[in-house]
Amino acid sequence: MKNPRKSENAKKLLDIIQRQQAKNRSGASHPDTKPVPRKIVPSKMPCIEDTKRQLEHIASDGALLQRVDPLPSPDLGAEAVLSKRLLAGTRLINETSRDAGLLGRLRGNRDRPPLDLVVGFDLGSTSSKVVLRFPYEEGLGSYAIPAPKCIQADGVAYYWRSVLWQDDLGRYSLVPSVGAQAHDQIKVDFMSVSNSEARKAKNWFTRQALVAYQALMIRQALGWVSQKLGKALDRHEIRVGANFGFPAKSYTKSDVFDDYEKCCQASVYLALGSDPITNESVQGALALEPWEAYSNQPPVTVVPEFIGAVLGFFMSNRRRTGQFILADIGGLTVDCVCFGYSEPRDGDPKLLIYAADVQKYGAEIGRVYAHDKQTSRAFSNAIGSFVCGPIIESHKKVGHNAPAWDGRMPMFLIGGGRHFGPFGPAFSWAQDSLKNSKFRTTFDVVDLKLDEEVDLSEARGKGCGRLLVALGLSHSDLDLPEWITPDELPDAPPAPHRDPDGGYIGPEQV
Amino acid sequence: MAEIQTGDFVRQIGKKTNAGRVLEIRDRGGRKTIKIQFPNGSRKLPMDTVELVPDEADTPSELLSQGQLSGHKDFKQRIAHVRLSGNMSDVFYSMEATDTDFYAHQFKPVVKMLDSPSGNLLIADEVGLGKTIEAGLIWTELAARFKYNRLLVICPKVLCDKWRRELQNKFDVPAQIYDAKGLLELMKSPYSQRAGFAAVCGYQGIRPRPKEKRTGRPVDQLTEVLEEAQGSDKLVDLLVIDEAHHMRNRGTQTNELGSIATGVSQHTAMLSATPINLHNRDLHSLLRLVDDMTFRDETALEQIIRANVPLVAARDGLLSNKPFDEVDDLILRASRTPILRNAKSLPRLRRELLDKGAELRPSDRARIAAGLEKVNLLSNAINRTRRRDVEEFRVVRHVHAYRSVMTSQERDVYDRVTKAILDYADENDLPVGFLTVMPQRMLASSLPAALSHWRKAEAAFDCEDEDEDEDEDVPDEEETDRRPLARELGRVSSGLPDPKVLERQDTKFAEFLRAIREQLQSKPNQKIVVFSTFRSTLKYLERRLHENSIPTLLLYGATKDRGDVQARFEDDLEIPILLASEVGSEGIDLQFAQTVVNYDLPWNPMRVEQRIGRIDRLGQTAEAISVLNLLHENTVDDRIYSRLHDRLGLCKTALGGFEEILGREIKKLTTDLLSGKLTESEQDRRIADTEQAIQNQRQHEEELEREASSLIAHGDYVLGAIRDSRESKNWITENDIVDYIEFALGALHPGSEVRWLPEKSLVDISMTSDARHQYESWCTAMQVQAGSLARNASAVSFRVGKGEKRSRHPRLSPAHPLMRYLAGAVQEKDVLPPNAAAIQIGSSDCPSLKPGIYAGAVQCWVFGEGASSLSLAYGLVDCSTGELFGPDIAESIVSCCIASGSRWHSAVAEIDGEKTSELVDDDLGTDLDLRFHDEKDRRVGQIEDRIAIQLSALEHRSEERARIIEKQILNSPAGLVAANRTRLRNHLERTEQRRLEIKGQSVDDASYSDVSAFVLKVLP
Repeated sequence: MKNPRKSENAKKLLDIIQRQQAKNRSGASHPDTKPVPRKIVPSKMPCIEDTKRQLEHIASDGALLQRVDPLPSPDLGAEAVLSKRLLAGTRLINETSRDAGLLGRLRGNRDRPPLDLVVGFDLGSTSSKVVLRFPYEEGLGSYAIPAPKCIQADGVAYYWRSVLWQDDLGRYSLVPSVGAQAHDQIKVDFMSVSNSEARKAKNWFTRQALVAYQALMIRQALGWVSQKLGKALDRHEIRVGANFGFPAKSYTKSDVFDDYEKCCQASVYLALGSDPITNESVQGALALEPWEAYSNQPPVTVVPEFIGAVLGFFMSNRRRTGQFILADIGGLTVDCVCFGYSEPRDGDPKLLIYAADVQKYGAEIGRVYAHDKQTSRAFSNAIGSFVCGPIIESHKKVGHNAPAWDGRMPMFLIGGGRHFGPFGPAFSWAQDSLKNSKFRTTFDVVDLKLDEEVDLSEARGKGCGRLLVALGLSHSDLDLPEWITPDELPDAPPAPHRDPDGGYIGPEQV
Repeated sequence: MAEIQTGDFVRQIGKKTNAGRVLEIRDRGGRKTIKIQFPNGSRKLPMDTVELVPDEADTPSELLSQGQLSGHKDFKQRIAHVRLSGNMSDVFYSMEATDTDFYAHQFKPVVKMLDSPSGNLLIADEVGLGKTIEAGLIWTELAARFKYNRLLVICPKVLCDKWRRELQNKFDVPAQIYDAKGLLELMKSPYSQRAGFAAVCGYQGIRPRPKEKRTGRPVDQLTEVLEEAQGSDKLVDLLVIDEAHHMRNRGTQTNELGSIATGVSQHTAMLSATPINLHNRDLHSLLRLVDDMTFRDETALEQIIRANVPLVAARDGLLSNKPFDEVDDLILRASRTPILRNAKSLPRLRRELLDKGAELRPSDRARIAAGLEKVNLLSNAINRTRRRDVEEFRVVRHVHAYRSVMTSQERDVYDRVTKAILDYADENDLPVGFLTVMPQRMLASSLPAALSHWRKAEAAFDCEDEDEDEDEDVPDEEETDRRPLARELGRVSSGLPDPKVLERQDTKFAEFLRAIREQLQSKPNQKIVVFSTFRSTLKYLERRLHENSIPTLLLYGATKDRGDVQARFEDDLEIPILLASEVGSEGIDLQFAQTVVNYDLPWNPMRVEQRIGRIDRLGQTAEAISVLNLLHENTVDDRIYSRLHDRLGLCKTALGGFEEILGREIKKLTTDLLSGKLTESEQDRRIADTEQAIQNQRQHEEELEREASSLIAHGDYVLGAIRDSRESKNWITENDIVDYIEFALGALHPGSEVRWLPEKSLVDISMTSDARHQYESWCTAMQVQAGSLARNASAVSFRVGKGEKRSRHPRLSPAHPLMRYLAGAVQEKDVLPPNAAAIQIGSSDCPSLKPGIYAGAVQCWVFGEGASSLSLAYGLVDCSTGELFGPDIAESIVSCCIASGSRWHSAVAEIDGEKTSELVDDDLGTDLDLRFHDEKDRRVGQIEDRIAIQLSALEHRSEERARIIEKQILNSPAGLVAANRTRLRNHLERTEQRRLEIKGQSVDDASYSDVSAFVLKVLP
């Protein structure tokens, strides 16, 4: 039965939200300013389910989440920088022999050994990151690619705003030009359409935008690395591979996943060609079938995002086996994955995804909702409850005997939103809540450090923690552990039924 | 090219330092891949990115030419690995590894101990400079370098507990106090000898008894075990003898103890505040214990002193910019002295000097001066630091005298008791001495307390005089002599006014109370230490202060837990006063107090100095301290105070070490003044004579000390080198330790966990079961204790750094078995082969270099197998001009790179690998080669000199001994000839054995290996 008072609170909140929406639509509030904090003072703290509902509502209404950063104006300097990079990138790849089924390039005399180069691509809702790595070359290392200032996200050199511009002639660009139209919901739009029919519709624009954006990003990144290392790359054959991140929750053979995989292949195909990236070339790339033509060459892999984040850890000397939890707190979403890592003596390392969940409980949504002590607490509790979900769900995969139920579970916290205050208490809440149940697990927060050896000189002291995923994804596909999704993972045998009489010593022995 | 097969040893073509064994070859998605087992785990790679490992590995310069440049992290790990090996000559393993503050002078003995030819050292620092800490630092250093684990401290019994506490609290050494039986067990038990120990023993309990008196008691058995092991077995790694001056008299049991204990110890540190007078026999007898061979007799010492004169003059000449030919002349003179005739270092230093000639630069002068200092045989046997040499001593002493006027009744009592004592002495024909002086001093201390004590007729006096406790020659009979005097004093005092009456008019106490209240009013939270020699006075003061609502603590010889009293006094803000006797407070550090009150004044100024030294010592944070002296006006005390203490400023400035002279003069004066036979003017004259005598003697001793100082040259050069070392961070930081453990455990045993909590100075380590097993096996093989880490699956906490001094966790130092295990395993598995690195650094972090591109090389030089056998050598060249930098600059640049550098990512694109590699190979390589051979000559010269001196001493002694035995053979009856011949044969065998031991120190194998080459970009 519903609690009438809770419903009343929810109504009040909805009312305020609707009023705010109306106000925004009427233009009373400038679209470039932060949303005005709403004072919601429920007489009693809302229950977790109510809070979750309200958070979902805030997330579903775009008007409530006003863009904080305005879109940039045309910038000739940035345009010139990127044009040069794209040109260098095209020059670097202009000898690609696509017909021979090679996804890579041949250059010069090829009298030096081939170089493998991996692109790690982390497409975010608001910011994207790209890291290039030569995984087998001591002297070349890994490079996070910096963005021109006007399209940097949060003022960090290596965070690219996930925005694409298209001019009247159908040409795509990463920087604005006069009259160009901006697409700033590339990922959100792509992920939100689950209808397979709509997805398959010819020329569905969102796919094109995604492919164009990724292709441009990869090509300019290759150009940047060519500018930076020119001499060192001379006379080498370069084999390019790419890894793209994908939310773990959706990482099953779904339409969205299949479509994304195809888009990624098209992006790489396009990036490694010399054609300008236009509506036409993108459509051409998307129309190419079958993909097998070049799929056996340095691969294009779609990897659960969280693996990118933790790959550095599991490739480092700090790695250990066991059960882990990871929470990726973004601006809009919070991803939570409970997974295991094992290194069998006679096999390859494995990453077992026990359970994963993603919800739109990100920091920006939290900021709208949690504006006072009480709502902050309610928000923390809701997040805590959300975090408990995958842990509890993992029980059926790992069984009742898993060591983590009685001990420490390493917890990785990543994402730009994790510094938002109410997230802190959420994990204590989750831990206490677990302790009250049959789990005696304690969280052991483990720092995920950026590889000290990656060049971050342009960050000028600013934290670049959100590069973790791209950095991890830039490892060679051979370094990626084999991952097994919850669907592929069998359930653990149930706990044996306790027979209270089994241990009974008969009356004759008493 | 041969095809790669499973089981082959291969390496990455693009990262040639990464090699491993092939586990599997297979097709993956159309690509041929290969799975390789690297030291830190397995990895899959494309087949065409690996090759078979060639017979000869690529050198760092070859890697440089191929552009295989790693980053700053790898470079740092390689340097850390060599530094943590524990054998680096230029790293202080004891620096920052203990819970002590840094004072450069305290590392001087560490340097000298490592340079000491005999491995032994006499530390003769003045009081209050932290000799205990110096000994602890020596132990920490030796334990890290030599992997030692057997420490024995011999000290006066009263100091045993202090040593135990200091070793535990400051050096994390779990020392225990042992008696003769316990020590015997440690010496005999193979387990203790293997597992190690830290033992503290009092002199008194373990002194050997003469052979004829031995009855098989533990002490006799211990003596026999030690005697048996002489020369052949080393049962102790470091022997520390505190208050070593107790051993100065040859023929005494304590001296014999020193002799047999040093004979079974690898290293000996003798601590004593003895002033250094080279013409003093006591010094010689201590030096003989330090180095029996070099200082075999006084003639040898004389020879060394004579040889040192031109040597020290040459050193001073170099440092004071004297012309090189003048210095050369002095070195030539030194090399002609008999003792240094065969010294190989001197001709080498001369050659170096003459090569440079007039172009001698300050750095050359300093280097040659350091070389001369090492030839100096005295400087490596004695360490002497005086308070005036230590910058940190800047505390001013404000001295005040509080004089009270006795009431007529007090005066009457004072006179009557004095008379009774003198009459008693007269009647019983007793000389004026300890027996008669003490009751008079007790009376001067506190009339009511003394009378009350005598009325109980327990003893004549209840003083806590150091002489009484420590001197082994105090006859036991004296105690029996005291009893009749005690009875007499009891009889006399019963005829005097009641102590309660005297207490009510106690003018001295009233003055004392006023002084105390003034002090507490001016500085309310300060701590005051009140001294008296007499227990009765201390107890009287305790009661009276309590009645006046002033809380106190009491500390005297019988106090059981002195550490606890000290801690309570320091921590409890409600307790402003500590009542102490000098014996009770011996070895207790009270530098948090700022006022000393002498309720009675020992006439021997050294005793007063000891009292003041409790608070005027290292660690005193106040700029000034107060010394308050309480006196009865117009008494002998008053006259002595005014004429001696006050006029000679004995309380104002710290006394160097004139205990002996002052003690002698004061003893004579006391006897005269208290004989009761001198008139007041005669007394004054006598005091004036003493004042003059002390003044003269003091001047004379100071001159001798100056002379000794210059001859021993225990000087600034070593201190400067220590300070430089500190500035260049030539020590192992907590960061180094944690980084290394993280890297090494991860590389060798992935899955182990290292968690550093810098705010708590703790590091939690948990190891995988495989790691625990291997670590435990290693510990068993090395005969060291693995501790809880090998047993515990969960995390074990260790202390690193300086925080949490009272933490109970063991300290993780370079000497810890875990560090030794990891360093050995990393070496064995070749986890860190030589590499090439590309580093960049901002010019603000590296001010000595202009922006530009540089190339450098780091080599590891190995000379023999000793504890200081390794050194890292650095070279640096400017890539644009080809200019070579000196070793010091190169070293400091490498330090900067380690501290503030980062990977230079575009180095491969910006440098010409082949040209840079040529620079490293040709220019730097040649420079490093020359320097290596120079260093080798220097070390070989130094060690050969040491060997030559030791051999010559051995031959001399052996011949002498052989002559004596031969003479005995000639003169002995027929029945004893065979026995004496056996003695001679044994003697010759032992000599031969020792000869081989001495020769074994020589540097036979000197080699160098590459650690890393690097290119460095200094950013504008």
